[in-house]
Amino acid sequence: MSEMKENNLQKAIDGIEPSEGAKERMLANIRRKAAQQSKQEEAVQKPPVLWLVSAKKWVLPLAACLAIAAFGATVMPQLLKSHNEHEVVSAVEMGNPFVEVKDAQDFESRLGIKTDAPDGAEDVVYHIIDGQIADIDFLSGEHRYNLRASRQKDDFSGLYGEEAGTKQLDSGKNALLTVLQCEPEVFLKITWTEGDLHFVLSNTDGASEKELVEIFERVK
Amino acid sequence: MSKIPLNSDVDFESFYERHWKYVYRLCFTYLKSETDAEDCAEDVFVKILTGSYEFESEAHERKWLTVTAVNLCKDMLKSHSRKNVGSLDDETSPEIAAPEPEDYSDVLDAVMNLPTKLKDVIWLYYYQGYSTDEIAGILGRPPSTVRNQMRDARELLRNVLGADLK
Repeated sequence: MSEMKENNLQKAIDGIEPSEGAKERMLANIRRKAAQQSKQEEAVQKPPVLWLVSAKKWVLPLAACLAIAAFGATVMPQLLKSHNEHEVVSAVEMGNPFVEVKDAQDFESRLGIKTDAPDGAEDVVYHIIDGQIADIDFLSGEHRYNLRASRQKDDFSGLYGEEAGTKQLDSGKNALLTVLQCEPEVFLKITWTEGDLHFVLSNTDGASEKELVEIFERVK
Repeated sequence: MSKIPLNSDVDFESFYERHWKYVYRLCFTYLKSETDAEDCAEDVFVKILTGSYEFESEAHERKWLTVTAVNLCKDMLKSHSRKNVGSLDDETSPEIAAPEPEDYSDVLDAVMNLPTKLKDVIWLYYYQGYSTDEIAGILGRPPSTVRNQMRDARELLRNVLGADLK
């Protein structure tokens, strides 16, 4: 998706504004629904008590009064409270960590990172993540690959799974191929370093180790 | 690790303040109705208020809210469909249109009219910034499926919005 349209999508969603009073109305409804749910759960858990039956003439009006009092005590302050929606910076207004960029030259100018998809790669998409990670998604042959580079030392591959095996690659760049088991699938990644830069090349759609190593040899 | 105490109004209100608009927007894109979006968003927060949850970070909170809201929206869509009261996901205009910036309404309409399974990935990828692998983990789908769905969604959006989508 182009950068402009991606921004438009974000702006479009941010443009969905709840109607006036929705915040207070919803909060009141949430409390009411939660109270109802708790009452129902209590009713299921507790067997009926006999004295309530005989005393229902006064218990029910009392319960009604208590319910009104409880409602007033919990909901009315919310309704009366003046809310300024802009007082609290909603987390939803935080920027998308993915910023699509035009090409690998943007990595160099913005991050000082030189890396690119291998020659012949198709459907190449470039992102900068969190202003720190160069991210390239590309198609090569029948598989899609992801190449990331950053000065971050933590794992920024975005892959989760149990490490099922590792293999040192003879490349002089401390390159390590790791097999990740994420039932029912197997992910592959190759990590290596060049100076202060850390790289990770990964595949999650079934490429073989040989295919991933071939891509690695072309991008390292 | 912070915990949201069930009986703390202050903590719950703070949680609600942080996320209510996000949850509402998410629900609205699925349900295309202000009334249903409010109802569904309320149910998400009722779960918080009546359950016991621990979150490691705001990102963790957001992830939980996203999964819960999406599931509740899908339940509501199924319920409407079963009751034969008309699918909320049809191609007609929203029951009550939320105010939208005019310039982006075409983008919003296109996303709202995507099939639900494609809406999931578009929302999480472009609005929340998750990677396709992270989306796969959140939605419990194979990463290759998520990537295929991303491709399908982009194609549908391109057809609706024009040729400037990849």
